[in-house]
Amino acid sequence: MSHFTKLAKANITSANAFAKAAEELGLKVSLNSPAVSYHGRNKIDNADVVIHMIEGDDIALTKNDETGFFDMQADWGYMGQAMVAKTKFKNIGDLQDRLIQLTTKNTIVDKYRREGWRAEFSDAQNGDLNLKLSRAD
Amino acid sequence: MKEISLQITASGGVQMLHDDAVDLAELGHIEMSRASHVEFDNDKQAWFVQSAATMKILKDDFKTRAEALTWEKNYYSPTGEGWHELTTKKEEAK
Repeated sequence: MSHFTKLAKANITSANAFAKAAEELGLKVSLNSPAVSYHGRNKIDNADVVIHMIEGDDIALTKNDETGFFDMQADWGYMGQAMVAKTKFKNIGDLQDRLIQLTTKNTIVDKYRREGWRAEFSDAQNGDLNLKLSRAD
Repeated sequence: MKEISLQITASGGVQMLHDDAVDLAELGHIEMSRASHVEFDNDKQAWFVQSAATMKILKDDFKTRAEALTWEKNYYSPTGEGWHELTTKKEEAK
């Protein structure tokens, strides 16, 4: 007897896993840095992770004290087209989803490797990632 | 060797056959549903695996419950034949 478990959208629980995900996408990342948006008009004094997308517009990752998870903050609409032009993604939603997907992969792999599991992943046909964890009993 | 398979979807979700060793609730709000039944057939004196969605007997004549559970786990892994049944059922339910 088994149960199927589904999480519709993973939250971001690790700043390091997020930074690693951004680097995997070839994006420039800073840790514990100021971030700007709306062509430099809005500022965050200290974000846990900053992805430098275009001049004056970053994606900032900050801890949400109410939820305990991290949130991505950016002026998505304002810099949308420029961001898309700089990356291989067709729209902002695809970029956000890919960042969350890779962050989730890194979070799970980091955690279970620390606990002695071996982690192997492979790409599925539709953009999903299959992950196999194994450990000697 | 213990093995656990899971899938991280392109839209940032995670789905797997439940295993207590992996706590997806750490990442957010999970939903869980019955995937299958593993029962003993008194007439045949053997174990069988039954789909919870269709109630179809997927495979029978297992001598031990452990054999049935191992087969079931592979069948419902992301690369197994039964994965589509689990994930499609979830999508259609939306």
